[in-house]
Amino acid sequence: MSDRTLRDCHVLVVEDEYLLAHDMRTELHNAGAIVVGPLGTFAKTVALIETGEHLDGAVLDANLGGEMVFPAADLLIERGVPFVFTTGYDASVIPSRFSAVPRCEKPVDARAILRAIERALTTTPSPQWRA
Amino acid sequence: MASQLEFARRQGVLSRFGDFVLDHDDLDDVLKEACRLIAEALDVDLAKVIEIERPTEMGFVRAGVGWRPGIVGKERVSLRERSSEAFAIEKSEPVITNDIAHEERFEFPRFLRDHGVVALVNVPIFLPGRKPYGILQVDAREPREFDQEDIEFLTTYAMVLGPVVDRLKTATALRLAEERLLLINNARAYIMVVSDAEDRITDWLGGSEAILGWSSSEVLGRTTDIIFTEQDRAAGVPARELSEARDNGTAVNVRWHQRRDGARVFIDGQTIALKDHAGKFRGYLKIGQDITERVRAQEALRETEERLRHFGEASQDVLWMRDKKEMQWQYLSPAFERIYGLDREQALTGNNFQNWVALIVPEDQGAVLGAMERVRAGEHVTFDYRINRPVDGTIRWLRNTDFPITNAAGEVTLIGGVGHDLTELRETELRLQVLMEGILQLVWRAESEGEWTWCSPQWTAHTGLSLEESLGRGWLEAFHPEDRDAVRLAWDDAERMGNFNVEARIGRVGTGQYRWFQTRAAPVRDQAGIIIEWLGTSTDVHDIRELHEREHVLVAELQHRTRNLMGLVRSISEKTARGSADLADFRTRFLDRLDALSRVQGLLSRLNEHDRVTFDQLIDAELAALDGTADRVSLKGPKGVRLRSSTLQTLAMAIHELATNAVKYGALGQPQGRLAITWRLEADSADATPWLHIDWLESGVVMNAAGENQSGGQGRELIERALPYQLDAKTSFELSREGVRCTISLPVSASSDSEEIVDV
Repeated sequence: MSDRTLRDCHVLVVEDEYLLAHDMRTELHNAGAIVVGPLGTFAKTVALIETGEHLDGAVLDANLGGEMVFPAADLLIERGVPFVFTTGYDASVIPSRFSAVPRCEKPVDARAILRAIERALTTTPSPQWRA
Repeated sequence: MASQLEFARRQGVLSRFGDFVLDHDDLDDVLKEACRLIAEALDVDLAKVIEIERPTEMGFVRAGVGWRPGIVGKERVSLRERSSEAFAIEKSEPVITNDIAHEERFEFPRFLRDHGVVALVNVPIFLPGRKPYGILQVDAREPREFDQEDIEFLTTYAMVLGPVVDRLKTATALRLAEERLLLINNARAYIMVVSDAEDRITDWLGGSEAILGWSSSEVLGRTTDIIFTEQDRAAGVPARELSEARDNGTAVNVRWHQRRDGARVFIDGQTIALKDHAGKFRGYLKIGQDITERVRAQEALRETEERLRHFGEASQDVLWMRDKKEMQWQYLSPAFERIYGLDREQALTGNNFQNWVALIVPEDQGAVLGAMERVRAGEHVTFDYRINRPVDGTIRWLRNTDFPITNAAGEVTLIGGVGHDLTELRETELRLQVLMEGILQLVWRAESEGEWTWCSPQWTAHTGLSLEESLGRGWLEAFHPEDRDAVRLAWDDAERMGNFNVEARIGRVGTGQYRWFQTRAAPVRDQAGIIIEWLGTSTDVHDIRELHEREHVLVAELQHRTRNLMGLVRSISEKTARGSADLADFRTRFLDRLDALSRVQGLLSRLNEHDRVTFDQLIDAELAALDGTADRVSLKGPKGVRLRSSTLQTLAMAIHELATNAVKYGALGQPQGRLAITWRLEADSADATPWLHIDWLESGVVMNAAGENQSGGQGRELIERALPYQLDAKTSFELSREGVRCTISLPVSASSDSEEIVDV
């Protein structure tokens, strides 16, 4: 079931911790997704989103080496790209405008993140699909 | 000589007079008829009756005929010597004057001549017992010889007239007495009780029935003690009163009496002993007025006065009354002694107004005297002043409320005053003041809607706004412009909410430097619950607030790090598991890596906020974990190169992998092996970011195939992949024949106070 939903989907991975990013990439890859990234800094993330590269979903670490990822999340919402947060913080750190965004608290099993991305992809129709 | 006919005619006159007298009982009518008949009998025009008025020695023309108006009932004649009338009375016989022109014995009243009287006869009239009553006078207008028969007739006539007059006078007197009695009986406001010598009631007059409730028929024959109260009867009061009246003529009878129905009635009267003309005791008259209403009103008034006196005696405040003119005390309540510490009697002696003013502290005397003048002019005044108690020299604060008291005519005659001792209140206020000005908080008072009425010196010290500048809404100036709306809004809601509470920045005006204050106010309400004013404080919460903010950041950061760390441990454990031959191998490798992670955490946890771990610290910590290798390692580079905290963990893990590899397969695992670590700091030419260049050079190593395989594992991935990914590092890793050579260049913290070191 998960194979079918993630297969060939372009999923952006943003995670500053190399080992975690590496694990995530491996899991997504095994699930059939096409991983974009992973990216470890805020600047790189914004730059990538602004290139307009095709994205079907994203996994965003809330804190990137001390910088918060939220402006990048706003760009994704603008583009209609569903995403999930992974975070070591409790919920209060995430601005209320993202209250509808799924979040996976660390440490997370990469498989749990996969399920959250699948749900985000199926419940949030992207504008690209509607067009 | 009178003819027989003449005699008969005169007898007829007497007869007709007799008839008239039988039918009439008014003295004036009878005397007038007597005059008419005698004039007719003696054939003269004029006749009159003169009545003796003893006190004035004058004769009053009581009745008459033929006289012009203004004589009868009006005229009086002298009865002194040289009057014919007095002469006749004295002689007790008729006196004849045949021609007054030739009469030398007497002088005559003028009106006789005016009427043309020429001759006259005066015949005295005697009452029974030869008491002279007056004169019957017959006047002729022409000379006339009154003969013996005339005289005898006149004498007879006067003798008849005497008893008639006497009878009529007595009858009149009796009638008048009865009339008076009747009038007295009509005096319903009085009880009038007549009793005989044995005190048996004979007359129950006036208001006796109405006032005492007994009817006349019920009481006649009974004794007067029935109207006394039972207590008085038991005490023998009725008998004592009677005997006192008998002895002294009267006895006072002012007391409560008892009505027939048992109700009380207050009689103000007396008991009078009644005696006849001979002075013989005949009985008693009890007379008195019902003044029950008045007595009750007086008792009520007395009760009211008594109650007011109780108020005065019990009052904690001094109550006094002064006369308006001299301002002397007429009343002074006992509280005076407690408050002033002076004896009341003593205080009332001499010019007690002057003495009182002298007790007032000199600074307050002017204001007090001014207030006194105003109250004398009719104002109500309230004023505060201090007195100096002579007994112990202490000062007392008093508040007086003085007011004019007017008489029925509306004139101010008295000055009333209530003096309240404020001393304790003042002392409490003073303590409160000291407290309010002594605490750290900025304290203030406000009316509704935030109109300040007072602020403490601390407020002025912090804001630079004076008391005057802060009053009203002037205080708003000290608040941060961004917070002013919130403060105004809080005031808008304060009354409804019943409190004021806002956290806002307050600063020194003009400096732009603000601190956070918690500003709170509570309403002071009167007994009806209406807000009178607000008492407020502003507490400096700047440091606490900063602390809280920092704490918040720290907790969030801690969570972030911990969870990341857990993720890392997880990842390491998986990787280690994949690269391990068996469980024992895994255990060794995994614990080794955990130890390295722990060392980094140890370094991080010792840091303060702005501190950084330096590279030399990191190297020292890692090498210290490798016992007994120091002699094979050389370190060269500046101390104090500050590493970004976010980079520390990954860098430390990379160094750890290098060191572990070196121990297992490289320079630190072989006796000839050497390790040189050198580093330097260099600014990036593009943006001046400092870069740390690290050179890890192993030498003297005998390489084998297994070592090459092993060293290419996790350490190599960290250096070649993770460091560039995570730290933007530039790295190289190569295995030469001599051993590993690895370079790592990464951006570091901008501020670093490094110093060169040579060969540790």
